[in-house]
Amino acid sequence: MRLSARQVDVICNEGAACFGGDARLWLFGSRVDDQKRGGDIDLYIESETLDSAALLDAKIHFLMQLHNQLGEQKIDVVLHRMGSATDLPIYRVAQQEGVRLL
Amino acid sequence: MSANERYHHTLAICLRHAKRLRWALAQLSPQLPFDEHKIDRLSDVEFAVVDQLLARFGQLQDTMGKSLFPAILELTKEQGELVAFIDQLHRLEKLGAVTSADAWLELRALRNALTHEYPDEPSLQAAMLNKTVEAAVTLLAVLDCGEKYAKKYL
Repeated sequence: MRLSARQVDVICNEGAACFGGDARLWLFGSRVDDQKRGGDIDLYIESETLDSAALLDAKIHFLMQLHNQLGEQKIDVVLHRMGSATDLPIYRVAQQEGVRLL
Repeated sequence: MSANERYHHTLAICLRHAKRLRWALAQLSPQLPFDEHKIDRLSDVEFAVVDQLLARFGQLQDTMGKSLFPAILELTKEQGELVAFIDQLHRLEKLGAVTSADAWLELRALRNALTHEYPDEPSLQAAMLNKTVEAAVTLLAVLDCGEKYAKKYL
């Protein structure tokens, strides 16, 4: 996994702060692979927050905090609102191929 | 290019994005606020207007941050030693060229959230669209504020 200890710390702390203590968070994509270089930081987050507007605000706040503390990086966040009827393939891919951080 | 020319050139680009953005906002306003059902029922043409809103919001936000703000600072000869964007932003806020640095950072975070490789479920798409409409109005107001401020230096 190609994230520094500090990056993991910040992602986990802000993840819990923005999405709730019961949120679950995975790193997926190219940063999981030690053999690769560069690439975006792809995060998959499951949240019990029922309200979509509140969840989107949380995502924006999360991105702002990460940019503030980790500098300008390309960070892509896939949100899964628990209780939503939609089941997208990426939700499973991220869990199966990713590293759970929170 | 002189500072004046650079500013006018960049402003012209921003005003073109702003015009298209305003048009898209006007087209979509009867449907506000969006929810997952409305998203599902959008026609192909309506989807094209949504794409225009999102694209022009992103392009305007980007151009303002990367080109217009530095051009305004250059015009006022206020950039001095300011290299980091955040410092430029705080200086612009202090000068009154930008109403709120925090509001700008939130617009930037939304723009980053929009450039999104993976699909979202419809209710999140709807929330994103509603948020972008609100943010577009704010973005246009920031452009207006910057333009008014820069006039003093032309």
